[in-house]
Amino acid sequence: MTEPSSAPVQPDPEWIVGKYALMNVRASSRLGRTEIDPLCWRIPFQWQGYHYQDHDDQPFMLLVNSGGGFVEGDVSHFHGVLEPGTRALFTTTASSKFYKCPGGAVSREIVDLHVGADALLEFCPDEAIPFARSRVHRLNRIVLEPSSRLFATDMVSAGRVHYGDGEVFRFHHLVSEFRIVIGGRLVALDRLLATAPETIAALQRLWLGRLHMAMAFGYAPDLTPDVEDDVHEAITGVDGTEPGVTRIGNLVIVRILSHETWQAHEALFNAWTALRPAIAGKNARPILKC
Amino acid sequence: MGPTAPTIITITTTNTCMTTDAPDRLLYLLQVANASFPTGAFNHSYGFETWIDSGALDDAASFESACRDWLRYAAVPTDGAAVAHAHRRAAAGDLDGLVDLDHIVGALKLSRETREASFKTGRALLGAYRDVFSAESLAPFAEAVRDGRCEGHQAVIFGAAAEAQGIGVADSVLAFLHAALSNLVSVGARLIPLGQIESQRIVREAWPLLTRGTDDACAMELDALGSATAGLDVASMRHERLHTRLCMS
Repeated sequence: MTEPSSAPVQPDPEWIVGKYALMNVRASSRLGRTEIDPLCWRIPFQWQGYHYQDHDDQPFMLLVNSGGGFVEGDVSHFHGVLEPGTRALFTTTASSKFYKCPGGAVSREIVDLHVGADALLEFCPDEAIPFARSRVHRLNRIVLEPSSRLFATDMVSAGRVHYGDGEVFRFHHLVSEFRIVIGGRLVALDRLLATAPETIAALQRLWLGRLHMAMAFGYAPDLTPDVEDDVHEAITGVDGTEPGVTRIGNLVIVRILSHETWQAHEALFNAWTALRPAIAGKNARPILKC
Repeated sequence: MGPTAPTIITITTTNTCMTTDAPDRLLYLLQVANASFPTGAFNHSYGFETWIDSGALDDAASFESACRDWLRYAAVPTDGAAVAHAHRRAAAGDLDGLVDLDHIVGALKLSRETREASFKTGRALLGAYRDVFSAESLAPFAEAVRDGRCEGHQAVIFGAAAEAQGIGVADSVLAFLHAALSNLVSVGARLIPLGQIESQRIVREAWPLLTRGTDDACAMELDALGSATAGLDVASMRHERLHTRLCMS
């Protein structure tokens, strides 16, 4: 399985329809803190800088996609490199909304993040919402060194669950992949392929009647023993959720199913609350987005 | 009375025919896919024990429905497809390809117990295959497992070993899926519990799903391997914390 290059990416020349949002950033250590440089970007991604919400050396960057959503043929590609020893948090300003694709093409959302040795990545995007008749390809690829540190989340909703009389599992095609490589070895691959009507219809059962599916991944080379028990305590008891946590080596994996968006958000935040001290050496905090 | 014509049993699958012309191949499959072959697969519920413990699965109907979903949306597009890919890579002598495939199979299993079940049964299969059949064809892969280059997942070893024994791709996948389902049903039979006839009926009713799943698995590209059973992932993760457990996963 070929992993993405750490070099800045360019638009796919074979991709001929839709908007092509592109953002290449690089995090470097300067003046005793991490700074993020935008190497190049294309609208509708907008560069709006970053800020230090924890009042320390770690920048928080809000990825701003002014497109409002993905129509058929749209692409967004966020590519970031964290140099060794840096630490940064990336989040989004809103959920990724995928609209109908009546022509049979897809909308594509790609995230490639390369984390250097002893660097910390926190990646906490909002959820993806595939609307009725959408055709969606999502690809999240995170490449770590063994000494890197990571907290990352991913979340997919069944659709606009409160739209009209409910619009759930009405998308036509969903491929959603979250991949983590550590030291050149693939260690986690959450890949959902719901491309056949039978599979899409089955998701309601396979998600235990829930409408949102979320994941959290935490990794550190020196992860505290039994921290997964703290995560279990933290994520258990949020109304409407079916949570699970496991630990494979120094990788903690959390799976959450929920009825409502806020329930999954709360469980994810609780997982971060339990993991962040062990991974980042500080407490979790609500991320300010405006 | 003249001699009677020999009975030919023909099982037609996607890309191969198995007949009694090749009894050794049939016998190999029957032996390796049998629950008594020492892999320990019958000890794993892959999260089903959590559902049974909670009462979510409490009769033949609910258990059968869950088994069919597991087969269709978890086993076929992960391990079933991996058997096919392993078979082809073994045929090409592609050791690095087998190692890469083993990483993918492991990474797709997002709970510790399910991942451990896969490589523990795989390593047991690897050893038993070598000892029972005096076969050294998987020695390079076994060395890769010993060296820590890969974990040695059951689907990969099953496919590679079947190739070495001259079994076709489709037959290998079908035998693997049938054995996996049979083992899971036997777990349900013990835990719910279910009667022997009820259990065997669940397996028989799944024949069309098994043959269709075999076709799907054989046609699946490597970048299409994946699972849609998020609820079962949660159940498998929660299994680690069950107070009373009869299964290892």
